[in-house]
Amino acid sequence: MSSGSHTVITASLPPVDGASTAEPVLRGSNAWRNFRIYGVLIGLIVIWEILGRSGLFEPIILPPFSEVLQAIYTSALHGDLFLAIGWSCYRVFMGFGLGMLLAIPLGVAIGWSRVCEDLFDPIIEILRPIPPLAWIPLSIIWLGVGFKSVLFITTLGSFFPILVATIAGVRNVDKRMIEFAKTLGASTSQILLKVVIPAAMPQTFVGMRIAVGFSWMVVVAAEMISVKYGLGWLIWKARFSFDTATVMAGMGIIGLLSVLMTKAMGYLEGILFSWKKGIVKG
Amino acid sequence: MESAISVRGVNKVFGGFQALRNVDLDIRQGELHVFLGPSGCGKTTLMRMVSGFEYPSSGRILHNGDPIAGPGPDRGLIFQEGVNFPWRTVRRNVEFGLEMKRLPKDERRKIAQKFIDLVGLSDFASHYPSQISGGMKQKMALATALANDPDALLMDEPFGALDAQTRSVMQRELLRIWSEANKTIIFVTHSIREALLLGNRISLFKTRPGEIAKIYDLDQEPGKRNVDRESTDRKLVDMEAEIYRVMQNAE
Repeated sequence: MSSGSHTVITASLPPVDGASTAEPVLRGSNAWRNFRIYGVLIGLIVIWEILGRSGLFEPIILPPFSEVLQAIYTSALHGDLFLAIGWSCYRVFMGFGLGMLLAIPLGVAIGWSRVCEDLFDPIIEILRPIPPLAWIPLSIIWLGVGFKSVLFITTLGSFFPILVATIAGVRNVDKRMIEFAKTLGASTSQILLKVVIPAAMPQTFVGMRIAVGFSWMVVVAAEMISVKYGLGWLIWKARFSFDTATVMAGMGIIGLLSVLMTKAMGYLEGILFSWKKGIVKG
Repeated sequence: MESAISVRGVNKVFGGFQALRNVDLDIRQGELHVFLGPSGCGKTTLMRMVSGFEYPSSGRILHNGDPIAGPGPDRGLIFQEGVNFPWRTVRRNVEFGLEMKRLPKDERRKIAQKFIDLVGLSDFASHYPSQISGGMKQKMALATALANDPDALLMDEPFGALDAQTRSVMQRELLRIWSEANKTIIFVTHSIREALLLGNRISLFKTRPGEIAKIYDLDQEPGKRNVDRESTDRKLVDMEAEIYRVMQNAE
């Protein structure tokens, strides 16, 4: 694989025809690899189940794995689980979408124009390191307890990763590419729309993939504090009834959903930026 | 013969460093003119001034009688590393300049196809740049520049990054395309052999300060048109030795 930013992009891409054939030879056989990956996972679950049933721990501290599955099954049967997943997904999508809509144009403007850089960069440098969760109290004061507040926090969570990646993407556009476009008669607006933005998109997408994970972390925390429904709320509510199995079930679902979404982003990346394939091969 | 590009008493100073001194040069309409010289001799600087990305500190550069005011589609530029737009297929790369002119789609298609065929990339029109070789990328860049119908092509060590085999194929190809497309070409290189094979004329640059040491008229001196030359021609080999001596003395 090539060095630098390309590695970041390609690391989680689905294997591309031909490019991946050399991999198993280097890393050992596929069967051994699968064994390592799933073996550890299954092993941990078995140990968990044994410890849970051994009587060494109270069920409140460590319910066995099968009880967590049971909790998932029960809440799925009642529909609570799907409602919670639906609400959380909805909030993530809204926050992520809004964050993206704000971050991409602003990122392009800052990366492209010195004036915009001078205007916005200082503010962004100060606000960026503040964890989105630290905004929760302020968002409740401003927007009250409820959806608006959660949306605000989730938007913040995805805004900065996308913004920072877009700025970097725009700044890193090969100067000669812009010169080439000029000699082909491109105007400034054409250079921006037809060269700079498409050239920066792969980098922006890396930011988006990070932002999806971020949004999940943030939405769950925000849900615990300021809304009803959603996975965060489900966990928080279960805690009060000492329903540890449901707490764990909720956590597991959050983990799975986040992985699923990040994977989906990876696939989308592979499709959108298939023109980069050659770079993967070096 | 008419002169396409006239360089008149051009000096270029970069923060106290004199990159070019007193350059006078007329590049004829339709000729393949080579800038030859060691690195740091100002040949690329002069080419960048002709393309409009740099301006002379003093003196003037005229293109068809008008001073050059900036980069423009009348002077196509080709970089060493085959700069392209990697998210566009070969076809859409070649269409780029036509798209900037807002030509209708079917017209763009037609013109692009003509130049894709001319450079021999017909089978690769729907490939992405990452899927084709370095030589093909340069052919694509050539087609992209030509599709825009410029008066002149400015090529900055275009084959410098290619392996020897591909390079010699590309030199042949360039001559074929040049003779079909009928464009003025400025070709920058530091390879004496490449200069001798391709040029109608060679401007030999020397360093510190950058100046044109001598202009060779190859259509007269070796007595063969560039399209008919072979790298093994006795006269070319002799000239190579002579130019090499001049370059050594100049340093």
